[in-house]
Amino acid sequence: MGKIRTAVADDDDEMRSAIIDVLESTGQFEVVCALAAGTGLPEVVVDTGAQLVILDVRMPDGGAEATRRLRALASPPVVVAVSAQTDVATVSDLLRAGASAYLAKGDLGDHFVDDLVRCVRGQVVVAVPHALDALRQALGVTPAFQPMDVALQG
Amino acid sequence: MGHSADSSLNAFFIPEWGHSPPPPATSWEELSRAYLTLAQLNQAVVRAVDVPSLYSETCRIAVRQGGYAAAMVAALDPDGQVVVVAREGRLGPDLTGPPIVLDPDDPRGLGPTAVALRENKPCFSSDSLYDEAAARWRESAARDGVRAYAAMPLRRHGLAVAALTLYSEHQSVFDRGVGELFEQVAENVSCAIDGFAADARLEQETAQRRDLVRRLVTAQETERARIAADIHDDSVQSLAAVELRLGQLRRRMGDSAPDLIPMIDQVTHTVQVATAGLRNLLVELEPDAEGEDWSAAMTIAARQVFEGLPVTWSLRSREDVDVVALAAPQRVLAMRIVKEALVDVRKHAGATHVDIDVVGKEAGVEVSITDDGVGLPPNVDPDTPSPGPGHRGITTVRDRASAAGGWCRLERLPTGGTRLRFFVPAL
Repeated sequence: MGKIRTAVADDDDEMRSAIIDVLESTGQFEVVCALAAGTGLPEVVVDTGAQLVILDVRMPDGGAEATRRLRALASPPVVVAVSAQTDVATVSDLLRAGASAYLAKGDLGDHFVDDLVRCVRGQVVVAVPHALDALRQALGVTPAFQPMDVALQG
Repeated sequence: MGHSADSSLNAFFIPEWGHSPPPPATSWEELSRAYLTLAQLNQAVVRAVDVPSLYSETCRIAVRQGGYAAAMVAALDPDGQVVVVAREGRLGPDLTGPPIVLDPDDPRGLGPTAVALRENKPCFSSDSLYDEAAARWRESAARDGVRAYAAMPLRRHGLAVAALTLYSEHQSVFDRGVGELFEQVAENVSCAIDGFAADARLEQETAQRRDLVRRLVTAQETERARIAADIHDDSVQSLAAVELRLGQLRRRMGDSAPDLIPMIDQVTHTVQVATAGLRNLLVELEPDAEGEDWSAAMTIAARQVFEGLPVTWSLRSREDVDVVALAAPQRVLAMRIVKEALVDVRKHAGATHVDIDVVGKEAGVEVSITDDGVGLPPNVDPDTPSPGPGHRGITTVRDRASAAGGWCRLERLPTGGTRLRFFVPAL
């Protein structure tokens, strides 16, 4: 298996730089582009032939909409969302849009690259608090906000 | 605007009789009619919804029920000019003559209306043909067929702001008995004017309070959004970058310096805990989802706060709380209170179950949050506004409820646990 051609889109310079350093240090990834926004990302992915996109959620033109556009490409890349925003609604939105993974910033650990490789192999990683709720919501297993016990009295 | 009060029954104007025979006393029939008119006028005072309708109804009843030729209310406008604001019946001299002025040296300031307004006391004449006080006004009165008149100041906070003037074609209708009755009417109308002024002030204060709450909530939400953005864009990103690099370092050390791994793990753990705390804070700072009904909004709040913890919770909405039309700022405040109270339970209560009860009332919404946790520490007085360090959440909750014009109470339950109840008015 050759190097995984990877695009990194994160509007935080430190984070983007850390991701790139970690990826390149492994020798398994080739960072083919690094962007500070989601603007123009699908075009860049097509141009560079990126197989994997590491996507920040809360940045200009990032998040679910960017994921949908990437997944609509003829050769859609694997999208891994990496974000500090880990509420159930946002996570399930990204999964519905086609992200293969949702990883919490600040909890990436030394297994980050392993998680990415899993995703490229077709696995799904949702490593956020309340991941099960997010998955169930994304799959429509339960209504979005079902109260556990709502009693209406006259 | 008005003229200082100098009125009492003693100051009641007794006509100075001129060179004419004294007028006959009021007949019982006239007195009865006056009483009936007084009763109807008092009803009008009670029913009136605003000052203009009070004035016009007073004039209408005086003419139609009281049988007076004409009735008029003239009020002082903000510039101190006398303006006729209500009238009924055939016109009196005040109405047909030149505009009324308050200047006593001006002929237009000699009529009863001007005198009552200027001197803030009643001005009566039982017979304008012979009454000395009416001498300088007699000509125009005769032209209009007015034989007797009564003008009474209408007051706001004791100052004359208008005058009610009644005109009669008959002499002697305004003797002392009837005069006293109508002075009572004027007092009642004045009370109503004071009431309307108080209502207007209350309404104004309510509007101001609503505006202040709206500004407060907007400012708070803007500040929260700014703090959330700062935390997200700076602190969290930096910590996340550090955590990611620590992961990279750990992988490298695994081969070259395995003895350093525990130390790296410890640092990593600290960074992860700090980042998780900030991520939770971001969730707490999130604005309330607009458009969600109450049950949904509270469900989201409870889920967010207790997800992943061994805490069960129930939400009970008594009556249809979603129909309670809380103004948007009130709703935001109420939801903030719920979230903060739940976070407080999560942090301090050690509870296994939490009941959230919401009661919609016409005047607003009452919420109670009851937990089965460890209860308040013995040294904390639930009635103290600031229970002390470590309980900032409660203070904030109380402040928010108070800012919304509501209240917040904390109860120590006999079975252990704590109940927090708060009320936010609909405004």
